[in-house]
Amino acid sequence: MKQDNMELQKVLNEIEKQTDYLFVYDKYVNVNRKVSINSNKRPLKEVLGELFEGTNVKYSLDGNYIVLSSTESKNNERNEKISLTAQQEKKITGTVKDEKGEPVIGANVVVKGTTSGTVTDINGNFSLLIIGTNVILEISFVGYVTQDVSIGTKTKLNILLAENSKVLDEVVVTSFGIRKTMKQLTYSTQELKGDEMTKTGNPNVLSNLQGKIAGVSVSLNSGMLGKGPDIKIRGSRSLTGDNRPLYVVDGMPISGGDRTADLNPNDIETINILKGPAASALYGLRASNGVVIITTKSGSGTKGKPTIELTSNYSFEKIGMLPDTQMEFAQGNNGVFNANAIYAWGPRISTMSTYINQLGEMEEPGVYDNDKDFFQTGSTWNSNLTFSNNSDIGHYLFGIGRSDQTGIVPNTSMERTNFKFNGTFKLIKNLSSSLSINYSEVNIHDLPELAGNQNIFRGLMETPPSYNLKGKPYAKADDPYAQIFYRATQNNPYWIVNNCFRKNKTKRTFGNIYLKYDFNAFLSLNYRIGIDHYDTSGNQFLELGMGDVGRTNPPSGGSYTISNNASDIINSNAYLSFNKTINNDWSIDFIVGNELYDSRSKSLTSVGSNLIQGNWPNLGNATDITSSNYEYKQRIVGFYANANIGWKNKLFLNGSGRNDIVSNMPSKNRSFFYPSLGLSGIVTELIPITKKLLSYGKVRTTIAEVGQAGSMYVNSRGFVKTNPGGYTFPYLGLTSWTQSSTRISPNLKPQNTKSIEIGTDLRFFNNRVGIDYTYYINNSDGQIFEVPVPITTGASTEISNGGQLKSYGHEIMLNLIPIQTHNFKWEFNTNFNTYSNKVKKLYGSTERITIGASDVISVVAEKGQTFPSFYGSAYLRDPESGEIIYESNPNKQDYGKPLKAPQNKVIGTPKPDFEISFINSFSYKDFSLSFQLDWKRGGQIFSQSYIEGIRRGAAGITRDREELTIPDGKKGTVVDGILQVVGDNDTQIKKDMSFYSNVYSVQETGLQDASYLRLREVNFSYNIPQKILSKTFIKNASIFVTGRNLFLITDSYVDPEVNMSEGSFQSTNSQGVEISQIPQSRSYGFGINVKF
Amino acid sequence: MKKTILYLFLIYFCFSCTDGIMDKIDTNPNQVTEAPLKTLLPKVQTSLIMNILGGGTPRCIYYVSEQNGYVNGTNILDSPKDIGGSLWQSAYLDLNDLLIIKKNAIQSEAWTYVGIADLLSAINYMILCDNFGDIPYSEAFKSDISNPKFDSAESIYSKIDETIDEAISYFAKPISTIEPKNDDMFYAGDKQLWIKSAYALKARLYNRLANKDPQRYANKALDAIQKSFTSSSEDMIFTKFINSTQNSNPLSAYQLVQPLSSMGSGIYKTMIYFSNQNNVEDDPRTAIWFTRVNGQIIPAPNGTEKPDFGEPRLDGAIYSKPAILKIRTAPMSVLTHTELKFIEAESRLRLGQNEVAYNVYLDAVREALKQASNFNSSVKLSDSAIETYMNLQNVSPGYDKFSSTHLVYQKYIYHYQCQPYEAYNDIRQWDMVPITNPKGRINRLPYPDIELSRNSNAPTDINDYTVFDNNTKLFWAK
Repeated sequence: MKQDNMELQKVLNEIEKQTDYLFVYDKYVNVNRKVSINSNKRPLKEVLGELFEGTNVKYSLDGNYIVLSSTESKNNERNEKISLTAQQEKKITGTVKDEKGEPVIGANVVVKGTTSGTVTDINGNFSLLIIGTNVILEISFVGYVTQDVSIGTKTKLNILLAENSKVLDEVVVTSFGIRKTMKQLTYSTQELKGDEMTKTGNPNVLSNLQGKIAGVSVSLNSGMLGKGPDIKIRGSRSLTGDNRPLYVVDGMPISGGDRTADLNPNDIETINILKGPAASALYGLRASNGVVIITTKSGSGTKGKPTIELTSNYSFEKIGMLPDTQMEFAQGNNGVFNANAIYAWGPRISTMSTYINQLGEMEEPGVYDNDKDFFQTGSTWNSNLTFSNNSDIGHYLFGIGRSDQTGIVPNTSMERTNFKFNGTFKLIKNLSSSLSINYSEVNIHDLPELAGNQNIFRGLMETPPSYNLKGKPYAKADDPYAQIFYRATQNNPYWIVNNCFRKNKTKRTFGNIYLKYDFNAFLSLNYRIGIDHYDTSGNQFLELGMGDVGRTNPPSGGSYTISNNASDIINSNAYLSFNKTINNDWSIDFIVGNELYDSRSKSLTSVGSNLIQGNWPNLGNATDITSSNYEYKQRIVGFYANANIGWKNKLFLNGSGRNDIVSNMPSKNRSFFYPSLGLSGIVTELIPITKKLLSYGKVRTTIAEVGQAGSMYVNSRGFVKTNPGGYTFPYLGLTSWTQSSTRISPNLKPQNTKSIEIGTDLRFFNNRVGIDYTYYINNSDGQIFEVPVPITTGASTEISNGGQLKSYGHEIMLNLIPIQTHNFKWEFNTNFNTYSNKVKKLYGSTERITIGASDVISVVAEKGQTFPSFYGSAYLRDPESGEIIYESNPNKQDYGKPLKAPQNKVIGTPKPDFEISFINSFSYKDFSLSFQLDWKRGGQIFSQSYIEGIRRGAAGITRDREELTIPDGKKGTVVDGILQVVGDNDTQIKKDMSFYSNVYSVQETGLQDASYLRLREVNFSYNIPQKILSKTFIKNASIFVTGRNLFLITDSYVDPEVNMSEGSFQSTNSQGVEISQIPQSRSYGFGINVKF
Repeated sequence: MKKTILYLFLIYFCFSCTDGIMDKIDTNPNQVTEAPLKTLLPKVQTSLIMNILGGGTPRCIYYVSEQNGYVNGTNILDSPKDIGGSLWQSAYLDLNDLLIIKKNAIQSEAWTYVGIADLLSAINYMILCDNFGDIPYSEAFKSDISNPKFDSAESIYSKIDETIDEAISYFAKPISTIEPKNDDMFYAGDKQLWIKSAYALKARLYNRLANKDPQRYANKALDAIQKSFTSSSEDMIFTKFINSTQNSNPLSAYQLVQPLSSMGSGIYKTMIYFSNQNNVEDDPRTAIWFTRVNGQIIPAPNGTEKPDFGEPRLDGAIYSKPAILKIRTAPMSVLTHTELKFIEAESRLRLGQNEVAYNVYLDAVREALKQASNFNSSVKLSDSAIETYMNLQNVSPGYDKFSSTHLVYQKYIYHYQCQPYEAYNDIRQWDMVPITNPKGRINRLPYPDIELSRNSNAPTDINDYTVFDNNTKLFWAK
């Protein structure tokens, strides 16, 4: 070192860099003094001597410290000592730097064992008043190893924090339960801690994922209990097939979908989402839609004494958003009251006098909020008890969980009981094992989602406000099955909840045994075998007198349905694993293995209908009984290999390949191979960049291919039983079979998704700011689906390859720590997700295929359009301006009203423009507050409730029915099939019963903007201080209050997050259709968490 | 030990995924590869009744022919393209099963099955042609042709005639070892009745072609009638319904769920035509076929009907509703002796045999009145009520004043009992029953979306607008 005229401070820094010594000095040492020095190959003592020659500063060596002291400081120290003895207080100053000599901003400096402390400023400096000399300062910061410094008599500290490689190399669970560091990964993955799942006490695992993972879309179905949501990772890859991810619990693939309801969020240690095909490559074709890897708690964190943990929370639920319905106009038609009318187009209720109601009684006019009145306060009570221990041979956790819910809909409930055991044991030398067993029992007591007049809850939104739904009896006094309702075809919701039920009970056991035999330090044989078995028994009772056919005199109809579903999955996975580091520069891990996945399921359904008498839910009560059973079988055998090569912990290359052999493919195309390749580099290691700004930077890219098989059974087109037009066989000793209308292409090949992913993980300002960005392109070609073929060919569909679905998207995770002081911390996380999902090709000349459809709307895949799209009737629009055309010809029936386009077309899509969530966490001392805001923009929901609401004059928009208006648009007419636009619309009309009975048949009318901003959850908790607990046997305790769905801002008529998920819209691909679903509830709760 | 474990694993890997095992796993237990004739015949027969003659399409054809009104608050002719889908789909899927029946029956020399399959195919094709015009025929049901071309309705008509001849020839074959029994839900395997039905269909077919060559087809029709039903007891009619939500008359079943049908203006106008005092009640069928609204018979104005599916549902708050469609056990007619009587009268008229025509017409009307209570045995018309009606001036105008209007109107009224296709056909063949829908009369049904979006050969010039134009009239229509 050769320096001229340089600040002493810098020289000292340079010495610190070149040697193992650190300087300790106080404010009385003038470090701003300019010095010149040439230290080239001279001993340190000599250099120091020269530096302080002729000053009042002396130096002394103390271990690795060089203590500088000035006479001035000695004098002052003496003075301070005097004052300290009086005040017991002294001021400590210091600087916190990292290994590169950069100041660490915002580091915590705390007097150990107390709450007093401070944080470092922008230059890494701090000052602190301490009492006594026996003080230890604890210096900590995210991403660094926490350091304790004993003060002694020192007043000035120079602290060097070492980077915590563990933090940057956070370990995540990847395929097959293999743990890897984040640094190593070449693909995007996002982890969620178990405690995030239990924050607001929602007992459904998937609901708790909402907004927390970029790229994961959670779509809720209905506010009815037991209706779990569906999730999709990075949009859809399959047009008609399954787009739901694979679920893996403790290394074993399990039944997902609806059956995620069996999982207890409290059992979860972490959830890791493998988003792209590269991440999930080892799982093969089952994982083409991503993987949700769940690791359950295993007691590994606790040491020594056994730990008992008890958590319990209670919340109550209120109905959330209800549609805006008018409360001014009575039952009737065209302004005239009619007690039997099905519309609310009657007179103003305020102008009415006493009238005769449909029961023949005198009734005073009144206004009733029938929708709101119906719902009750629901409740959720979750309790969990775990017992865990960690001993020499291993660690384990045993847990019991219980969740009890009552719904906002009367007489609905859900109960779940979970037992779990998870442990890891080292049985003999070289052989380690783990065992994971889960048992659950779930009882759901709800009601089915039915279409048309059978629908159970449409009466809530459609009943005219003058009709006292709650106050009137719902059945005749002398016949409990003769419903009383303003509309004799539909159901009185009160009668329904008191007479009908659906009960589903699921018992499920799943688990696995894992054995690992270490041949030596770097080679091991791993084997995991697991089972997943569940049985669901269901009973559905629709009472005599139900719906559109039973409302006869005397009541008729009704049905009782018994169903049983059983599913078994066996999964066996064996692999050799090789793991070695060579020359400290190269790390290599390699696995090769085989997996067998065998899935069987059975269902049996018996429906007894046309009941003889009421209140006897039994097949013996039915006059017609039909039964059917189905069986599904599938086997997938996969051979795979994966290699990771790392260079100096800076560059990583990952390659994998898997060959699957799948039963449900024609024998010649049964076996298929797909590879993936990934590369990542730690930029901050490879290129010397100042770490002041960018503390960590990683770029990564992958290219991967994954296959997907089609439907079950592709080896023949056979005959099936059929009931033509509802004519039910067996009848008169006959049955009726038909050739299956689905043909199978003999050239069927597996579908293939190619994907490219690039991404970067950047952390700035000592990790105070973190951005993880991913861009991906998925191209799914050779889609297997039931290609609709012209029925004139003798089949309606053919299972074939056809069609291409292309998607690309951006995912951003932003983590900020805007404020961090000793006592206060604000963390801000954002997950942003946007994607495009387009149908590029369909089979042959097929223009569109239907994903889900009923009388009300079709959800389709159409060439060139976003997947999925709504397809239906639209308004006739001016080709130039795109505005709606209103009939201009006064002689035409529709004069002044909007015209309907001659052809149906794609009218919208449920796919949003983007989804973003904002998660804020604040902590102050022992208090913490967090809340999550979800914002979704764009996309539509088709609301049948809106369509019915406007038609019936029940929707709020019909309030202006008495005013003359000129609707915005063009006017024109159709002459000989050709549209003639005349000009701007100037025809005055009333938006009355006749207007809405015209527009209701245009399906486009039902589309609502599904954008929303929702306060998804709030959690406020208080950790009881150790000071209080130390005198008890309790280790940790906290209490918390929570809120969920506290507000919702949307333009949609109904809660934009509900979806019809039964009947014609059962497919999870047909999202975005609302047919009188129960809205999401709003919940308020509190709870405790105690560890013994 | 280590080696043994490895070997065990290897053996297990190699045998878990052989083609044999995988094929076995992929064998679908939910279906069967062969279907006996006795399972397929009930399917095509009940499907004919439930889906073809009784599904969504004929329900809408009732509105198109204005026998019924669509009281949903919208005009059914706003979207004609939505009408034909259910017929199209059901008819072609049934034709596929009929081909299988024919193939299997020929193999096992079960000739009666072959004949029935031919005849039911002929019925299906004729309904398709009459409603849609040109349809896939020669290239249909070929798995290697993914876009079957559309053949002209006229050419298919001649093929249908041939198919009926073929059916008759199979029925004429001696009794074989496999004969239909109760799985033939129309005639329990009675070959003679099947032959008569085949000739009844021939009579209908020739009669339909009459505008092309009145003389020739009149003679052919008369010839066929000779060999057909001798009384109503031989009718091809489906009666196996019960008073339950399942296995009941499909048109009634729908009305009982969603009562969107009211009395149409067409049936009202034709019935009142025969009254001396413009009183629709002069027709004794009025009382048993329709409900009253405040004691009145009120038809719905087709195309401008107000919504009337609320309370009282089945009787109507604004318009009279069909009492016929309240009865779940009402039989469904396919081919009847009464229809043949009307065809005979038509043919005689065409041949200029007015007096014979008139007398046959009177027989037909009298028989129609006797059949008027078929849907509900508890409302039989008394002989005196029938005679009172027969004596009305306009019903029996004398052969000199007798015109095709009398004949066509009476036939139209007769077909009110669950035969809307035939009413719609006559409307187009004669252009006599006035259509009142402001949108006009549709000449045929636009091809449904399911074919248009899948078959590149489907004609696109037949659409919601053009079906009203003159150039879309069927080849046999006026």
